[in-house]
Parts: sequence; C-alpha cells; structure tokens
Amino acid sequence: MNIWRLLRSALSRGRGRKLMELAEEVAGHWPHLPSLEGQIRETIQQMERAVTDVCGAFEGMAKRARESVAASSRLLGSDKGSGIEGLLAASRHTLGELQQQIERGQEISAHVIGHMQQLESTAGIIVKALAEIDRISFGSKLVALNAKVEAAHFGEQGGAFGVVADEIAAHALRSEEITAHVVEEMKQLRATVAVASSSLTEMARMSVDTLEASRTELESSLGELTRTHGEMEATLAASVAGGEQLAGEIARSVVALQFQDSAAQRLSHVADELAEMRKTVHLPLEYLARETPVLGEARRKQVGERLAARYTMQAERKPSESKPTSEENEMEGVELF
Amino acid sequence: MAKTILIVDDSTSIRQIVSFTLKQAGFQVLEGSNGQEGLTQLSAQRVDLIVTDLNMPVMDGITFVKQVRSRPATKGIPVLMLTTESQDSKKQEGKAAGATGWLVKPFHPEKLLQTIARVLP
Repeated sequence: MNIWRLLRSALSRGRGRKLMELAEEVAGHWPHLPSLEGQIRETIQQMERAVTDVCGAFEGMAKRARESVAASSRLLGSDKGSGIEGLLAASRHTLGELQQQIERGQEISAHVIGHMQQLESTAGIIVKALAEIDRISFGSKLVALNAKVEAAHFGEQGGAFGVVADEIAAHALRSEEITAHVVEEMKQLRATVAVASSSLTEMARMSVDTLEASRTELESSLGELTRTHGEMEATLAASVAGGEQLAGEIARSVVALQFQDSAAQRLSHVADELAEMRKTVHLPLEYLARETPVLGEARRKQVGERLAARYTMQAERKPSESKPTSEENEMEGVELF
Repeated sequence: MAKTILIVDDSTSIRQIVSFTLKQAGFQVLEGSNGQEGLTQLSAQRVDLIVTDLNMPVMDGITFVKQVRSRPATKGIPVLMLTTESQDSKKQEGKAAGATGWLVKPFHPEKLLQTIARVLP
C-alpha cells in the first residue's frame, strides 16, 4: 500500500516519467519471474537427482572393487594360507618324496644286481669245479678199465679185484651223469641270472630316465604355476592399490559432490525470494495495469525474446514440460527416423 | 555387531553421501528427512549415534537434539550436527541444545569417520 501512495505521489510530481519507465520495466520483467523461479527449482531437483545417481554408482563401484579384491585374495590364498600357494608347496613336497622313494628303489636295485652278478660269478666257479670232477671221473673210469683188464689176467684170483673195478666204473659213470646234470642246471641258472640282472639294470635305468623326465616336466609346470601365481599376486597388489586409489578418488568426489547441497540451498533462497518479490510487486502492478492496460507489454515481449535468444536447451524454454517420464528418460537424446 | 547410525537431513543427496560413507565403514544406517522423522526412527530402532542437519523443514536440528536429550531412552546417544552453518552463535546454540559435535559441510568422509570413532560409545 505504501508503494501505491509513493507511486501516486511521485506521479503527481515531476518524477512521474522516470517512475513510469521503472514501472514499465518491472511490468515487462514480472511475467517472466515464475518461469525463472521454476527453472531454478527444477535445476535444484536435477542437481539432487544427479548427485543421488552418482552416489548410487559409487556404492556399486566400491562394492564391486571390494568383491573383486576379496575373490582374488581367496583364489591366491593370501587370506588363510590356502589356495595356489599352498598347492604349490604341497606339490613340491610330494615331488621331493617321490624322488626320494625312487632313489631308494634305485639303491635296492643296484644291491640286487650286485648280488646276482656275484651269484653268476659263483656259478661259474662251480661249473669249473664240476669240469674238474668230470675229469676225475673220466680218470676213475680209465683206472677201473685197467683194473678190469689186470683182473682178467689173474683169472679167478683176480675176480674180487674185477668186482671192485666194476664198482669204481659204475661210480665214475654215476658221477659223470650227476656232474653233467648239475652243469646243465648251472648253465640255465647263469642264463636266468644274466637275464634278470639285465632286466633289473634296464628297469633301474628306465626309472631314472622316467623320473628325470617327470621331474623336469613337473618342475617346469610348477615353475610356470609359480610364475603365474607371482603375476596374479602382482595383479592383486595392483588391484588392491587401485581399490585404495578408487576409495581416495571417491572420497574426494564425495566432498566435491556436496557442492550440490550448498548450491541447492542458495538457489532455494533465491527462488524463495523471487516468489516473495512476485507477491509484493503483484498488487501495485495490478493497480497500474488497471490504469494503463498496455503497461509493460512491449517490454515484456522484448524481455521474452531476449530470454528465448539466450536459451540453449529445450528444458529452459519449457521448464514445466521438460520433466521426462522414466520411460522417456531412458530414450532421452535418441531419435529414430 | 555393526553399530547403527541415524542420519537426519532434508537433502536426499546428503543423506545418500553420508549413508554411502558410513556403510563403506561397516555401519548400519537409518535415515530421516527431518527431526520428526528422526524421532520416529528413534522410537522404533536402537541407535548408537545420530548425524543431523541443522536447517530442516517440519522440525529443525536444534529442536530435534533437544527432543533427543529430553527422552530417557535417547538422552545418552551422541549427536553430531552436520551443517553448512559455521557461525559461532549457531554452534553455541547446538552445544546448548545438547549436541556432541559440529561438522561443517562439505565434509571429508575420513574426517567424519574419525569424528564418529571418537564419540561412539
């Protein structure tokens, strides 16, 4: 009401023209205030939605980073001493034990081969002894034959001597037969021992070769596994470092994002004040508009055109119509022809 | 068992930022958008600590703290004010109402967690 009186008083004096210009200016801008206020409030909401979305994304990122590091740790066994590191240690231990057992087997084989060679050597000595026995038997047969001849020369008196000669000849023959049989058995024994010794030697050699090949292969595999494990550990360490870096970056972003809260408060205060201004200016303008129906019309148009020229987004031109539905929002920025 | 912290702030984004920070640190989080909602949460759940804004609709932070201190079941709960206000007079008002501490926004997550660790029972 005071403004009315002031305006009337001013208009009745000489400053009327200037005040009318001011009224024209205010009346020209006033209709645009609701739109500007609406834009401010909409911007506040958009900023809040954006920050909320970013925070949601942060939560997802942090959760996945934690899960990823935890899974890698479990895989590598760095949390409880199990996993690949444990398997590698167990494999190396088993390999060592296997090698020890095979080496022990080799030692036993070598001992057995030594005994067999000694057996063969002894058999050779026995065969020689048997040859000597055979030679003695042959000599005994000759002696018996001579005794038989001499016994015949003596007739009846040599009869008993002839019986002894026959007995000696029979023993010599029997001795020859036994010797021949034993020699034959000893030959077979020597042949069998030679084959067994050769087989054992071959088997021991093959065990060594196989062991060496297996050991080399296993060592190579374990080496590869160790290398891969090392790489994975390095990757895990990098992942943990990356996670820590991510956490730091998120922390900094969280601080930065809080600008929205203070900006929203400031913008809200501006919007509230604009609303208050509209309420206050509304009545005197209404009065003046009754007195001068065209008050501010030309200026309103100019201001409208200026604002339209300044706007660069559809949302600014029609703020109240710019809120997309959730379905539209998903397709925002997409145009199909 | 994880400690439960009640966040009272009219800003959805600030509630989410604080909630994110606290959940990362292993806390359980409850939320209210003003003092009245905060009191409703307190009557339904056990809370170990409260983080509240100062300027809120329906019931502001100072009134909320006074209400918390006036109730036997909640008077011992530490209350941290998290606000954009940094005037000494406001701080004194918060202290007189019974607030345990005062943090100015924007806050650093680590600083918030350190402060919480210092006042948690």
